[in-house]
Amino acid sequence: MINQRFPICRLPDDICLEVIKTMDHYEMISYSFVSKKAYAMVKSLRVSIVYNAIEMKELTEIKVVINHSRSICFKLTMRLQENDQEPTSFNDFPVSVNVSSDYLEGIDLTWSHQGLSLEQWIEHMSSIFEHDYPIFLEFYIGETRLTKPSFRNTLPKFKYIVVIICDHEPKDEDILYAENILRDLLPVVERARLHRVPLRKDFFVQHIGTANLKDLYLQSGCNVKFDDLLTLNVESLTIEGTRSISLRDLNRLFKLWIKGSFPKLNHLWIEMKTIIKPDWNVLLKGLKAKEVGDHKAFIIKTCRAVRAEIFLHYAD
Amino acid sequence: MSSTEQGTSSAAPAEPTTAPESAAAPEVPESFYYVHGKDKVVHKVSAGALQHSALIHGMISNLGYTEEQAKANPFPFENIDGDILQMVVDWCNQHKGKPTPPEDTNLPKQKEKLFDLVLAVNYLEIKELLTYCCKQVAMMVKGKSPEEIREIWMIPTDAEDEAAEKEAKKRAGKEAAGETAAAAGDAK
Repeated sequence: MINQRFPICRLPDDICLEVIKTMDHYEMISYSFVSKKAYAMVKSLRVSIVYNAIEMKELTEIKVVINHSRSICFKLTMRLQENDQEPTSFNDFPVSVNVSSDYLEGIDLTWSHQGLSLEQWIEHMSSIFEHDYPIFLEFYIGETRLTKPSFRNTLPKFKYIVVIICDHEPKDEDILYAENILRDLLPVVERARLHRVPLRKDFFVQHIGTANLKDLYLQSGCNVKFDDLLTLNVESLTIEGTRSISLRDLNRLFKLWIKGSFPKLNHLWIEMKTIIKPDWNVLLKGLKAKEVGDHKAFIIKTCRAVRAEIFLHYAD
Repeated sequence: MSSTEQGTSSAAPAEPTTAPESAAAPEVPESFYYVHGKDKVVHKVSAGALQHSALIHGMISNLGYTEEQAKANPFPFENIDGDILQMVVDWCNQHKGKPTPPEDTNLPKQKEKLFDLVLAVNYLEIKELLTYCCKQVAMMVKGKSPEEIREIWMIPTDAEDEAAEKEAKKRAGKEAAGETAAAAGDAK
């Protein structure tokens, strides 16, 4: 029960800002939902946090990571569809919002939807604070039942997308959903991380290959092939757990790099699954690689004298 | 320590019944100034304590008043309630020449007084005390939901805000029309 009130609106704006400055992040977020003016005030302070993560799981989770030991999580429960046919839309209103934090123990924090749809919630939460790192947008395909996101234009600040297929044997509709998300967001993001997303060749060449990504991270099950890599225009590429790229393919890739292909590439990490101990000579054949040190490190040079170091490692 | 005395007006302040500032007198005699609020009660405050207030410090720094002149010319703060000014003076005296602690628990708990105190402290430009007051205001909404914050801080909704703005515009329009009609009547 609230027994005492304080007319903060009667204070001059500069004092209101001083009051907001002394608040914790949770109260700042809470206050920002009170009115448009309150939101503008909190935003004007440009308070910095580490990052925001939006996780599209069974519930949509919006995480505000303040620092390495403090974060606040907003879990948005969406309305269940009666006929189970129509997926939930980004324009729907959450039924309730559960707020939890590692520093708000013992407080029952269930909020109403505050008159905002899911899309507006994401937009609001991503815009209150300044971020040291880009906002993560994570889709857990198989858990989330949301329609295709439509906020490509409304939220251009999303620079990091993560798509995870939860099932080891995904259904066609899950693959299609993942492709739709990527088709929509790849042109605007800088970093993409795909986990267990089976990439069909045409899709890879037309969409991932043409995207101007700074960072592409392909984790297990992404069945990426050597020919697919040739279309890439990324600065950093990481491929984990691939079985479809051979040492001979990599040798060809390095030769192309020496001749001037992939001018933007500055970091490449490939982790292959193999049952045979690799013959590094296959990889290094014709590269004029110069060995440095005792740890299987080699230096190669492009035709424009750009140097690169290759580190080779095999683990049983 | 400063003491307080009932005064009558800023032009003719009553003689303040002052106690000595400190038992151990400083080598250089400390200068004192006099302030009063809406209730005309005059407070004697040392220059050292007044340094907390950027406004008063700026006013007194070039005055070079003698004790008699200071007594005869107390600074009037007609927009500050007497009890609020008393709180401010007490705080300045308590923290005279001391580093300010990170928390201050002596601030008023009554929200109405806190509101007036915030305004007074802001006017007098006492930065540290303003920070304490702002913290106290912020503590009222610790762990609260948006609805609770709206209720505690008496914040209107956007719809109420817009309605009030429309109403104010309508009223202003009517007043302007009334004034024009009156001016036309005068001209006739």
